[in-house]
Amino acid sequence: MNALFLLLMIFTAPIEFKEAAQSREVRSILPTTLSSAELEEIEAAILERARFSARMNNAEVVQSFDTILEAYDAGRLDLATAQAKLLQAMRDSGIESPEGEAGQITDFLSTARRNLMLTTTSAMAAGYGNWKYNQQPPILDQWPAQELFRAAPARQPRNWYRRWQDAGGQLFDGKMIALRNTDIWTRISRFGTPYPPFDFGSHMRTRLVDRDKSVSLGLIDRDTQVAPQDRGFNDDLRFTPDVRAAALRRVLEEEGYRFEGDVLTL
Amino acid sequence: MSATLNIDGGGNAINNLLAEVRQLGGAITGDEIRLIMGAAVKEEVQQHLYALSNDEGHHKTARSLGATPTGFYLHAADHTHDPQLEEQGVSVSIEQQGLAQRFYGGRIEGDPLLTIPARAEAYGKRASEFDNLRLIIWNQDGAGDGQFIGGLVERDATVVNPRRGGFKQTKGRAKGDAIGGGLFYFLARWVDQSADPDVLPDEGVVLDSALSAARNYIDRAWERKAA
Repeated sequence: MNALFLLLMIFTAPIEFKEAAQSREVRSILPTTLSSAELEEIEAAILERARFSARMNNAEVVQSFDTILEAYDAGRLDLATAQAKLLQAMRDSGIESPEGEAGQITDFLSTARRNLMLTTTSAMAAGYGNWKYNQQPPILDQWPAQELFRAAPARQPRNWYRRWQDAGGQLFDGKMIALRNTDIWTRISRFGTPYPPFDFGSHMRTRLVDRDKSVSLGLIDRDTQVAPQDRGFNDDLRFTPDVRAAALRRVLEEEGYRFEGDVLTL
Repeated sequence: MSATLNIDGGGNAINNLLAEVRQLGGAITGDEIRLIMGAAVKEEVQQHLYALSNDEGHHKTARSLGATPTGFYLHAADHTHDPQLEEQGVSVSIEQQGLAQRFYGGRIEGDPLLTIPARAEAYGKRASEFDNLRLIIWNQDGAGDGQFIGGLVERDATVVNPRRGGFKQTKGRAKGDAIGGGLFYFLARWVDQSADPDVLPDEGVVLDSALSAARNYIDRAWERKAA
């Protein structure tokens, strides 16, 4: 499943809007990566891209994307090769750059867009896997807290300190640390997920903080246990903040589409 | 291709810890200790790779070209496998093409040729992404055993419709400007890569982290039992 498949879903059959808006696939076509101006372009361009993609051989591209992503995740392809193969798959399916937008983030064929599709989807799957592993009770006992930190430089770094504090997070000697299963992690996430990446193209990751350190920071005492959480990868789809669903719905309505209840009509 | 770090040097220390667990009378189990050690190893490996991701010294090629790093170490850290727990140790694998190559170093042979990025626009991309490159051969007969035999350069062209926000090579160019000739890739028969053992953390450091976490977990179990 990926962004292209979602677009196919939207434009080949009525679907529950809420379901579509909260899906991981929609998120990957929704705003946000390089700059706010570019994000606005994506929002405005969603329908154009969707109409465009509806005319292509989506099934083949979806299959190719999944195959390429799986190989990239498994370490059998490097990013450059994965991007090249994705480009070839889209070209083979007749996808072309939209008029006047070649090379831009709104262009599926652009390097930036293919990079976003591959890296965000891949990082999110890895983030979930790491989160799931670390939910085991002994691990939660030993490391009940975690720190948010920048794991790689960014060309246009977001102000995560502000975002952290706006979401109610505390700073400890300038470090963003909180107990692992508190809702601060979903609040800072654009996707509503408690694991990284917390935004498109984000290089922020987490590191475990052990109990001794957590106790010294006053986050927890020696014996209190952090309750493990259990959620499937798809469960997270229900955690998307309503405001984003509303934003997408507004964009669609402004473009002339109508809703019957929560169902998008074509 | 994956890289695997095996931590198996702590036999006696691990045995001592497990013996101590038995003295705790069921408060904790040996499996919990192995789990804690495995998690500590995985965390150490991941944080090491994240540190490399932030380390300018491990992105020399990108920096020298003025390009943005591709996120090689970030991806490697994200995709560090869950540890495999064994009787006397732990192993952790990292699924990342090229990581083992960087660790061990050695010659990379082209099949038939390697394309080595020569400018920022080419970095992190395959030559097949460009449809405006032409081949130049420096040694026309292809004879000899030289490492570099030619390059891929931008075809000559004239800008007819420059766009803002397009590929970098079009930025700053006005309608009517002549472009082309810029070298995008060197063509090489092979490259020799130096070994970089720093791409994986020191086994001693990792083992210390694992033993320290286990020690800490057991000490807390004693404290709780005494309370």
